[in-house]
Amino acid sequence: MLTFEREAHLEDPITRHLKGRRFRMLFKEAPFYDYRIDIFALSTAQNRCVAVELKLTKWRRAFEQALVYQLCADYAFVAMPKYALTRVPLDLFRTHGVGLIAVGGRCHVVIPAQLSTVVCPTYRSGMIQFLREQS
Amino acid sequence: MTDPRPELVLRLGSHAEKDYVKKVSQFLDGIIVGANLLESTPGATSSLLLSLCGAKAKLPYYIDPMTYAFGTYVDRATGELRDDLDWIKSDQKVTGKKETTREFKRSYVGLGAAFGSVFQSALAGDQALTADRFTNPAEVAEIVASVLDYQLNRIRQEFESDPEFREYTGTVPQPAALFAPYFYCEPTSESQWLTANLKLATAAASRGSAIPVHAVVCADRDVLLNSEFMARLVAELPTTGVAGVWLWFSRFVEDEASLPHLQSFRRLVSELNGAGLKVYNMHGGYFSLALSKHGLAGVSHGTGYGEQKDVVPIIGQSIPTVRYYLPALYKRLGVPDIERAFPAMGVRTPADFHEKVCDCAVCTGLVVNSVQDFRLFGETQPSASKKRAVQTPAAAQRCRFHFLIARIRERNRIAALSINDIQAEFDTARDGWGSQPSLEGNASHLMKWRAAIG
Repeated sequence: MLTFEREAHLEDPITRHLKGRRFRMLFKEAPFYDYRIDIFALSTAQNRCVAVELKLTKWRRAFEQALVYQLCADYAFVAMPKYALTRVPLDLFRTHGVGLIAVGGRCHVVIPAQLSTVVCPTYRSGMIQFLREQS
Repeated sequence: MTDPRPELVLRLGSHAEKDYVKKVSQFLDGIIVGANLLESTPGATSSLLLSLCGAKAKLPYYIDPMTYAFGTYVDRATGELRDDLDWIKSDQKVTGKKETTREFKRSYVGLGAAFGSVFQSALAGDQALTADRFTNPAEVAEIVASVLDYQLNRIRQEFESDPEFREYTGTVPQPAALFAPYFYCEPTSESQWLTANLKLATAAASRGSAIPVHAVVCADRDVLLNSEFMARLVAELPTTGVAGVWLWFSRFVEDEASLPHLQSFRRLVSELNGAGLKVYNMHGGYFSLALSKHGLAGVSHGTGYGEQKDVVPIIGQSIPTVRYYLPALYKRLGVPDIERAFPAMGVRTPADFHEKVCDCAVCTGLVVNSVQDFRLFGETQPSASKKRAVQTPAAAQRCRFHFLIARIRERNRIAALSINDIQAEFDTARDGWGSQPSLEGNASHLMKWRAAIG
């Protein structure tokens, strides 16, 4: 079984996953107030942006952070090692539209994220502008 | 009988905070300054205290002698006992050279000189005072005399020393209480330190000052779970003759503390008050205000984020963002965390915001056109390196003023609440804001507080 010792080890699989879905512009540790969004990505083709919180075990904290990221991204995901998902309450994620990605050898979307209903255009455009400037 | 309205005493951490203190001073019950601040900026601090606490404004004031800084402590990084007084040193530039040298901070050198030979010899030998240092009654009396005299006379001396301001010397008010010298009951020898502190408190109280003498109990939070330490405190502190006590439990963070810690704190307050002492929490928040129902006379804290203070400072910590104090949860939280809960909490307009979040002068003045104005509390700008966003000074100022007004209101209204009322408000908070998914993780203190004050 593939194991992950650090959150940073989840970055590469998620980056490949997102790039495969046409999210070509990616930024790691994107600042949003006090938060550092682990991966913020933009698909110019789809005009959609996504925020991903990487966590090894603490799903509750990741979920709370993803909820906040719904303010600045169209989609918010939590990505965790596949073996760490056994205790994650999937219904909670579904109810709040937060997506869940299982990271193993490949990434598997366990729960698709819903289009955020609370996204704020000012936050969203600010993040995208920041992403473009950094790129 | 304790005044049901707890006293709110603001601690001035630096002169950068003086505008906050000045603007809210008429609503405060006191101000406290550390002797290290007084020593590093004697003119400015003395002038400020005279303007706030003089014959016109009459705000009671206290000078924390900070004697604990001359004692031993446990290093955070290594867990080792340090007796080299490094925590009151700083890297100082050598004149004319590029290198720095580690020397005692000027303010503590000044305090050492003011507190007399025992403190001066500690500085001269780079050797912290230890609990067994306080066995000679004559020496204890000397220490007590110098520390109490400092609090009584330092400001007056400052005016006297300046020909331009000498005429004001006679108008300098007396402190509301004098603190006995105190030291940190560090965990490796907390019992010995308690003995030493009790001796110092007894000697201070026996001087027969017209001004009440208060003790400070400064220890790690885990002594709250040490039944022997607690029993000694409750049995022996009242016999020292002090009129009051200020509790300072390092790492005791009210909204993160365990229920046993909170319950023990409540018991201690209640028992010390029952023994006739005025009991204060030196670094407390809303839980402490609620403990006024159990005899807590007052609470002090800083202007921004001083509701708890570690005795051992954290080295290299970056300046934290000043977060928004959400009155409903009695806690500071990030702006986006709160904003995320707006839709579910029905906060859609400024009127909703003022009804459901806060209607203090700062909030009504700021959240005017839409609830998005709330973001001004979290406003950021690029950091010097341009790599991250940092809070603007104006946003930090808004958060601080809002917090201070919210705290003053809490102090005012708690007097009319019963314990049942307070518990009911905790229930409401848990079921409302505290049940929002983005805030739930920050609301676990509510039920612990509820249980602890019952």
